[in-house]
Amino acid sequence: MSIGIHQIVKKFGNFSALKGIDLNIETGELLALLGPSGSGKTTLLRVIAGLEEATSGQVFFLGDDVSRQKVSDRGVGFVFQHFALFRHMNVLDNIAFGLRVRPREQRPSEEKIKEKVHELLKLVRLDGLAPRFPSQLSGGQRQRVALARALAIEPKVLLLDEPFGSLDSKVRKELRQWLRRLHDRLHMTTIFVTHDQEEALEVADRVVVMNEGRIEQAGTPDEVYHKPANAFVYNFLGNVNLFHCRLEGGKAYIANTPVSIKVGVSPEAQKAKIYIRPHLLEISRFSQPDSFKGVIHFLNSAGSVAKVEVLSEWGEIVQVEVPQEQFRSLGLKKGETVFVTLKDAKLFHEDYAI
Amino acid sequence: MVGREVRRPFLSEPRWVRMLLTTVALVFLASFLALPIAMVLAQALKKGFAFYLHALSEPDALSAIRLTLIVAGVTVPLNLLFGVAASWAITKFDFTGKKFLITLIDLPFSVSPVISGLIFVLLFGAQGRLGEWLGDHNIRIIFSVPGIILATVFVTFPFIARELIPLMQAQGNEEEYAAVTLGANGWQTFWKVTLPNIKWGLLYGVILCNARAMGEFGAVSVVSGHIRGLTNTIPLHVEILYNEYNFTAAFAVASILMLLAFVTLALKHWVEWRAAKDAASSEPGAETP
Repeated sequence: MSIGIHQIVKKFGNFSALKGIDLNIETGELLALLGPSGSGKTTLLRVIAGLEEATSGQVFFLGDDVSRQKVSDRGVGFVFQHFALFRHMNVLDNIAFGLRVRPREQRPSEEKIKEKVHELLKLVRLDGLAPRFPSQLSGGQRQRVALARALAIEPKVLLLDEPFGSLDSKVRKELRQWLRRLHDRLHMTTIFVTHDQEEALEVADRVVVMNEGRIEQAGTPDEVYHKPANAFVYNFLGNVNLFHCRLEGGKAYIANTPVSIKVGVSPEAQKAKIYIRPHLLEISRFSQPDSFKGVIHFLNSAGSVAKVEVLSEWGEIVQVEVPQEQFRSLGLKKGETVFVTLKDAKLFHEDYAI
Repeated sequence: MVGREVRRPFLSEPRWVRMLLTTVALVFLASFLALPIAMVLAQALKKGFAFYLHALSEPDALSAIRLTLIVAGVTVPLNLLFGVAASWAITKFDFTGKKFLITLIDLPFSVSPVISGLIFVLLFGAQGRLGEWLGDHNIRIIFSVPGIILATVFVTFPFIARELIPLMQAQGNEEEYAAVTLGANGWQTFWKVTLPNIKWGLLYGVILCNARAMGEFGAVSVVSGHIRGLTNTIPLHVEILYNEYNFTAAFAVASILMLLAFVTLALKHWVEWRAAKDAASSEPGAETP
């Protein structure tokens, strides 16, 4: 089912949580709402579900305005951040709840309900756990019960609020790949909220980056990662080093080191910020054109890449990620002087405030 | 699982300090609780078991017992409704005047019961405007059963609400939200989700409310008028018997209230035990691999 969001504004007293959101979600799409806490992503999800009423603006399901419709009539499957399982009911009763509260004429027989619950338990790979209580399940199992419970009412859209937020990192990695596969099977329009950029980029068809109640950029994971609309998006989607630079004659100068990168900002700009990811910096032992000098301040080679912190000649710490092979062949030691080259960087106007 | 705490010698007091504290506590308990209880029983049975039974089955005593049961039977359901409604409103919704409502709920705790009774006398008594109107229409509130019920409701209404508000605040609204997204209406959400989660707290509140409703003396004494066989509750009946130097009968009737106290304590203990058991089994930390 397609969802249209038109000029949604949500105010809590004087605080504007959403400042005019426009967004269209295609049928069958898996969309991530990504942003830091306080960016309004959860509020937007709750407005779509009807758990929160927008101050102004409309929500459309398949072109119909549902803004004034009650939550219980919208037919959304909502998975809460802390699962919100009914603690006094076992897994079977939890999943069956949505079917059992239906008006008598729409309610399936108790036999059909049980059949459906077992089908769903198989789908979320929890067969045999029907008699357990939520307190007897692990975090990941609770998460999947919550999902099965939401799916039981055959929702038109599935909304997940930080679905893996309270799980440990190993479980969350497994679960998000599983969610992706599940979505590929069910093709249900799905929106999930996350503050974890890795999760959003890995799972979603499209990522909507939000900040302070606005959408900064919406696009495929590729687009937002490689063609960030602004400094905020670039900064939020991974570790970055920030350099303040001066522009002169088509060249950028950090302190007094000239750096040749394509200047993407308007030519009359005098100051800009350069953002560069740690893996797009290169360390060498000898001076290169457009390189700057620094001293190795900290080394950590545990992990898939070695992390090196270089104290630059203008006194700032610069983070560099070096592939393990190169790290070994360079034989870097703490306190050594090295040269750092910028392979690719993003330039943004100085006036852009993060 | 909480194991039995291991006594750490470096953390525990010397033996004589422990003995002294235990002795003080026991002596205090014995002289202020056990002794009076024994006295009540001894006095009640002083003239034999036949007299004891007679004191309880005498018409005025029976009428007092009946009235007390009626008062509790009306008061507790009323306060049950009020308590659930008030705590539901306070914990699940935001509205102006919420803080004021919470303060109002506490009012009966902070006012002397005698004053609570006087309020109703002033409101419905013969000297008040309302009293005149009521008198013209032949409706009796003061010095009659409705007044006793009103005063008791007033004195006991904080018990259930006070018990439920912190419990419901701690539980939050997420389960209710989940129920609503699954298509449940307000009524279904209340019966299937909210009520099962608060049942032990609610029962605990009901027990305390009932104990106070049956034992209330001050407020009821002011509005009742002490009409024997008509407007006397058990506590008032005990007072009358005592004032007539009919000590044995007074203590016999008092022993009913004492019995009520024991039943209340036992019930309270049982509810706490059940609630703790339920809480332990729904502890989020208790995970099975």
